[in-house]
Amino acid sequence: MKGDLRDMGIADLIQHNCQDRKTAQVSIVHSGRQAVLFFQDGDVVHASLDDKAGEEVIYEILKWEDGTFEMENNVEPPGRTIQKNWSSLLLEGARRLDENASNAPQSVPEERMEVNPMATNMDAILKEMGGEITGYIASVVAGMDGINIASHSKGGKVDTEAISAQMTMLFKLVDTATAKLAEVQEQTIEIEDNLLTTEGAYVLMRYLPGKQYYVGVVTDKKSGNLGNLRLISRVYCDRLAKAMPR
Amino acid sequence: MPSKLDQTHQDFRTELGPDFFVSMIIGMDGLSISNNAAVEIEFFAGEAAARMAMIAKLADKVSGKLGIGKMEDHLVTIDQAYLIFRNLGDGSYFWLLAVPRTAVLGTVRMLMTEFAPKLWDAIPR
Repeated sequence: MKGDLRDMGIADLIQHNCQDRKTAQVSIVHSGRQAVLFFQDGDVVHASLDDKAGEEVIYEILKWEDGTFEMENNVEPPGRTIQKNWSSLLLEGARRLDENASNAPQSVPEERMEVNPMATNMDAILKEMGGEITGYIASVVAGMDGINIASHSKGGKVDTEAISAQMTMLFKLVDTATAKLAEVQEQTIEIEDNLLTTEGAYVLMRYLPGKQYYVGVVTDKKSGNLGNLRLISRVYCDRLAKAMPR
Repeated sequence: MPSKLDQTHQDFRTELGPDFFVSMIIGMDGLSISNNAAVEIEFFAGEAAARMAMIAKLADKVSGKLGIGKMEDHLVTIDQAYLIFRNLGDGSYFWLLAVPRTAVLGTVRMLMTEFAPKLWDAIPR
């Protein structure tokens, strides 16, 4: 399979190959440089670029926004240079991208991430989540009545009430249609997420456990990354649910 | 002999490979004009086409209200499948595709980008 990074980003490539538990080699070419990734047993196990190998290659190539890739299935890796699981790799990669974007090129050491005080109120969690999502604009936690119970926006200039109202209408209609589909097919159907892509933005909605509330995130389409958005929002859902006032 | 629209539909399915459930071209009036399915499509072909048209219309409206540009596509992830809506041409028709969760989403979206203008061109006018 061949493709273009503008259609399928590197984070998406990694996520899908790992979720599909593929054994494969992916060669990625960008500005005359070639990186080679190997996938096995649901993880990316080896990566090389120029004279480098291992995790740092992944962090380097996550910056590539254009180029081409070619995937060959059933190619065994020549060795193992990456021990982290794929989601940790992408999370760390996303952190580094954010730091680069804010002119802070040094990476956050892993130890520091681990001792970071966990935000406990929902607004703070949304703020923290926004810091990990590339191209982040705004996020909300809203009920199915369209009322926000928490919100955050970059620069505080976004009308998050309007976002919730519009998102909720769409999410409810999708829920109704899939419920009907489930009824006809006599099986249960669970919605995991709902993603609207427009000329300017990605709008993602994802239910919190219990399906009474959802988290909605808006990112800029040009600087955002779809794989990163879906991954980070999924990671934060549990924390938001635990912080929900009762 | 299949129509140009049905043939383009089939070409897309061939390119996509086995990760495929249903593909439909639906008018904003809620009526389907072309189907290609690997599974039972009774639901999709009937009431669901109208329901899906409502979703596509609302998604377009929401994009406008939020001032984030025209809708390009709308992805609903359910436990067994990805459902992807994409407006065709001037927005009078949309394309609904259902693929299993084993499909590589990035590839599916890439192929939809490639085939959307072909399907629009193939709609009789």
